Amino acid sequence: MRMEFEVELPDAPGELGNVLARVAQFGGNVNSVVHRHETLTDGRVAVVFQVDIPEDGALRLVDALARTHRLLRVNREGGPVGSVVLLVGHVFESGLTDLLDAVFEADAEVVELDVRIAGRSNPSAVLVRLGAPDAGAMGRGLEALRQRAATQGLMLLEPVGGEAGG
Amino acid sequence: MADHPFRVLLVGYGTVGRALHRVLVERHDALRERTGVDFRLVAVARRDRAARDPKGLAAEHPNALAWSRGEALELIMEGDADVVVEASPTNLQNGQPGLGHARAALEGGLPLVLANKGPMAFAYRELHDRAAKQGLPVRFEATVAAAVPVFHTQRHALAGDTVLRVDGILNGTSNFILTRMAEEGSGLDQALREAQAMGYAEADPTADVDGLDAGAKLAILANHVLGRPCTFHDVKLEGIRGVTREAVELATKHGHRIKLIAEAGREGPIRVGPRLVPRGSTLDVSGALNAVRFHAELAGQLTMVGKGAGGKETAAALLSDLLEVAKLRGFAAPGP
Repeated sequence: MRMEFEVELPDAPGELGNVLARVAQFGGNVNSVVHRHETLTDGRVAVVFQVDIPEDGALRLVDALARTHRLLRVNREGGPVGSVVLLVGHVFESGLTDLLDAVFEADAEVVELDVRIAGRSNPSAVLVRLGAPDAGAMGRGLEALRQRAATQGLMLLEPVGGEAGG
Repeated sequence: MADHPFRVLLVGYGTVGRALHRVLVERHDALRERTGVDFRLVAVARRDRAARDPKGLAAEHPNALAWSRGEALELIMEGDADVVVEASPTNLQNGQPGLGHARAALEGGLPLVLANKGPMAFAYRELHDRAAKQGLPVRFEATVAAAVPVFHTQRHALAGDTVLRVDGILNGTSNFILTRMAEEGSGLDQALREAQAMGYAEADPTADVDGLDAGAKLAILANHVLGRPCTFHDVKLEGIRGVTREAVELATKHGHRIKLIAEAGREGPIRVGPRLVPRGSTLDVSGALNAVRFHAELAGQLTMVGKGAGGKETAAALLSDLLEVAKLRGFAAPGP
């Protein structure tokens, strides 16, 4: 099967080789590697890999990469999935850490946070990009977020059905 | 029967009712030529006034019609018509008085064409069963997304297919507001004032902004397209009042739009609420446009986009329903 993932790497010799070695270790074959230099910040760069890899290898690869790297995005049908949601409300007062922990407990993870704060008395907006090894874990992660958002009085904007996005 | 006039009784004479009247008069000859149907608007009721003329009411300014005291229910029960069109304002408390008009029409053996969402949003199953028992057609294309041929598509083009899920943008006003917020960086209050200034939003925007209007339409879609018995009360509603300028800004930055989406599947929640829609999605339609998307078993995804409101557009939907009813009731020339 084919999958595409985006990881953040230190812009240093040998870093790319480490990821390629991981792909090979789990039986994958790299089709393309694209450096997104425009995303370079603090000496780190985002790199997009497209690989052909057996089903079980894909899961183990994502698992291994998530331990050592910042995994920005994973796209694969029936496999690792990415999604994006927006929280609106007094997110920081109500405890952002608590929300994120709920996602981790569901075996999903938060790969990006982007925040807009409109002053102390106004609701903030937080974009949360999620990654998960499969649709099941993503569903659990989203459900955990839904429950926490409801109890904390936050508005949760999810992607429209069937368009989970990347 | 093709030599007989097709007598229309119209309830409601607001923007939609008057637009339908004009269309039936202006297009009378062309419609007769093309379809064999001899349309004749023989009675109109609005509030406690009625106007009637068995030879057909001329389309004029409402002040020029010869109104007398009279109730829609009386007119319907008199039964001097071949079809009842219900185009009075939608009531999202209980569907009345439109629901009463719809019941009376079917009881009196008259086919029914609806622009008013209330009756179907509150009593789809009852009206459907009653009509089926009596072999009377009921059509309601105009209740959802005006001229966008949602129900015609399902009834005809997808007759042998199964729609598994439906989602879309069913309220033009809230879509206009969210579009202005994304394009101009304005806050909700400012965008709402603009919508009101442009005539998209009512002075009381509750039905649009809080998702009630979209919810009523979704209840009708879920019943008819998904075969899921439900009413307006079963729709989980969340409006757009909580959507902030900052939320819109973040969504845009990350390649999404925030849209008020109505969605239902064959099971699971029937709901209306703000969602993230990827830019370039078929549901990424701007301004006051509506979009309805079917996820069908064979046909896959089909999206229909168009104006979801307006007198002329809604009259177009009523006209297509009226033609269908006329054909079913033997008022049209035999087709090819």
